[in-house]
Amino acid sequence: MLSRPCEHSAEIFVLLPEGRLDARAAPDLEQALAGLEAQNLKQIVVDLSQSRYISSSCLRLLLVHLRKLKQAGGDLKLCSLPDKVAKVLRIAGLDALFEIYPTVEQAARSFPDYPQEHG
Amino acid sequence: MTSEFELSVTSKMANLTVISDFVTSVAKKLCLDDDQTFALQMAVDEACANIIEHAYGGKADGTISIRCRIVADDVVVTIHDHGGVFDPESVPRPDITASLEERENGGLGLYLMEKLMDSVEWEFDPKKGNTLTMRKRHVKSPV
Repeated sequence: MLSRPCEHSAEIFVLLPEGRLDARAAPDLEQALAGLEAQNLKQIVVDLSQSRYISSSCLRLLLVHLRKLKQAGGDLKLCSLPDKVAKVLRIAGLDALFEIYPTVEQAARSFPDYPQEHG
Repeated sequence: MTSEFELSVTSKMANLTVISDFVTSVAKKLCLDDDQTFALQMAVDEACANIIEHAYGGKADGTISIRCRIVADDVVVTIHDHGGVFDPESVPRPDITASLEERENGGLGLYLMEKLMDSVEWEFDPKKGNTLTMRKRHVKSPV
């Protein structure tokens, strides 16, 4: 799973899962999130533009990681949701718990560590 | 035209893709609209992931049989397995209005199945196996 620092800040990391985020993909997502946690990265953007489906198992992982990060003073924000993924989040009531942005850039810009000169 | 479709696969997580392709193909043949196709795909995926993970406990050589058919005005999906029994009532459904601190992590798969389908029923039989029956009102997509 691709993960990279955002363009203007090494403190903000972007995770880009690809394909179906079903129960089979959950261990990879969990590993990627654990990897970011091990590096003490607390400002995460999950770019869902390449994920046409998300299951409860992956939503649960994102929810657990969001709670951990919030408790540690960080955040996990979502961006670029395909319609069906947005619909699942709405039905599950998770659109009220995650901050959701149209683009990676907008999500990254909403973090405190995003440099002012690029804001 | 036949309106009954069947798929039988082993209880491997990798087969969730095979199952998803099967549901997509059935939805096309039954001329389901986008919302119905989405509901069917998600409910079947959640149900099968649940069977693989919980009923078979990760054992990859169990069998999952899926049957889709039209009965009166409903699309009826029946999923059969020979894994362990669980009590669906014992799994609390999440309160989707709860705050982040109070939100339960579990129960979301069952919640989504029940929310997306018009009815969801389980039957557990130690000899015959477990049968999940889900129904969705049949609406044909406009041609």
